[in-house]
Amino acid sequence: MTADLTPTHPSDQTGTEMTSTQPVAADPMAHPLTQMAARPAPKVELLKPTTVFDRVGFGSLVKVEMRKFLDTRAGAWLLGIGLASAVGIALICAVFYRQLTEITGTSWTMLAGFVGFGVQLLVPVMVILMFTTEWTQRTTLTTFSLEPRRGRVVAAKGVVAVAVALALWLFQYGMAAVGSAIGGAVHHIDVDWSMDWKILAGSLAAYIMSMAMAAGFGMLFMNTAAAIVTYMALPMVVSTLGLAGSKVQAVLNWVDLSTASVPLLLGEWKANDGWQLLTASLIWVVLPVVLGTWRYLRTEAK
Amino acid sequence: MSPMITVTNLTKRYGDVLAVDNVSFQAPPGSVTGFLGPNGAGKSTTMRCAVELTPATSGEVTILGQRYRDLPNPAARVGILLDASAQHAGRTGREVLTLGAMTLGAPKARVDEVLQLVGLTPKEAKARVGTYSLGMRQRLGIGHALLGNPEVLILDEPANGLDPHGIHWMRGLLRGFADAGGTVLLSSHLLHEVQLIADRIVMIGRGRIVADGTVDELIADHGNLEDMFLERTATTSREGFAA
Repeated sequence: MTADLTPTHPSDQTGTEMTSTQPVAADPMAHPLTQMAARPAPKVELLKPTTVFDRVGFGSLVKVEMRKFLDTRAGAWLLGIGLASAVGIALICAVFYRQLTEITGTSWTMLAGFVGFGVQLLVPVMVILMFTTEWTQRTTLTTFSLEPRRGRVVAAKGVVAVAVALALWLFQYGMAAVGSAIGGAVHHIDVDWSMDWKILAGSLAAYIMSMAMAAGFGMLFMNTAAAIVTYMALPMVVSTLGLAGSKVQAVLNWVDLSTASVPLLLGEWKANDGWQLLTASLIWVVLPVVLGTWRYLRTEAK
Repeated sequence: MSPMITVTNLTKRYGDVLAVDNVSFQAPPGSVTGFLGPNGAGKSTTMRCAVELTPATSGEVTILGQRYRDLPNPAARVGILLDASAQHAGRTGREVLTLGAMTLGAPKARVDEVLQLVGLTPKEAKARVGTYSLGMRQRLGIGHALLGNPEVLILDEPANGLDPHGIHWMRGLLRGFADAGGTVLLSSHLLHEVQLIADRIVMIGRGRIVADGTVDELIADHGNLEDMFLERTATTSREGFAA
């Protein structure tokens, strides 16, 4: 049966054989698939030629990764719940604004810590999923076929994680402002609208760090459950060790990222604070990102 | 005609196991090359090495004269389907194709063309891949491979899970693709299927090439492909499956 199906090259195929079978455009430069319908025996529908990029651009990789970040049900739910919780918390803060300001003061930025609670819990999970589901759902086969230079894929995902951090930071402070404005108006309290850039920049840095940490854990474990549990539980376990005594706590000050990040969020820095933040973030952020990237680039996709 | 896929002394070792053992073969344009072998013979590993999802221990594969990763927009020139099940269950079929088209730079309209070509209805395209049968996933995967109008197709067991209509359809599609000058490398363990579709056969057993030639040549020597397959892979088939 194969004997009569002699392989032919497109350039050999534009002559009488084709034109005699069907009046389909027999452009010698046309792409193979466009000529498929020209043969009578196999009935194949026509697929038109298409334009494609000369090369895969980094911008389109970022766009695709951003879309993948949001286009699953898990992603949509996590983000939806996170954003809804921020709105809900902002309104609750507005309702109890008088009691709240008696504790925290009237600066509008004080609300941000409350408002961001849900977002900060759920969105790192989305970042973890962005890296782990490629392996658990085995979409690496597609992703790394489309772009075999995996470093570019990892970089595109990194850009998405940072962009998400920036967007959520803006959203969090936006909702803090809305909550403060409503609370202030309802309770007739003068809100302190001054911009504390140290706190704003510090909280943005903390956001980016937690996204990077989530990315690092996702890449390191390549498994959703392990990455999420470790991301959530391990820092808590480490913090708890401090209960063992002041000597342990003295060491933990250099290790525990949650305590080391406090100056970032409060905007108040004491001696050693900067160094402690540096060592803690080397352990929790830089190390997982470096080791995770190494693993992500090398692991066989199958 | 220079070959479009050239595998040269490809070796892949996992610890003590030689999954692919010094494999060399070529797939010329204008033909369907069937890549045959028992389960575990090294077909999939060879194909993954070709597109560098699996790093080769030694040897190399060139496609269109270059290593896969050196092609500037590789998946637009080389259509790949390595495992139809390897899709995010939560994405719709249309979304999977849209992501591919966005990466390659194919226009949105391309997604509809491809859906139509592979016979997925608009309703099916809107459903999550998790609800798809294996046959539908194969159609989606073949559609994904065709998004960029490639010159080369590398398909690992694309007939798996397809019903007789689907197999007939795919046979026609690949025949047409090859007759128009395209290069197809397709793996299967279904002898009959390959015999019907392929012009050339590369047979692999326990990581080694055991036969390489046109279907006519191989049949002329052995009467039929099945006898030959059983004979050539008998000593090399996996433990417990030996004839």
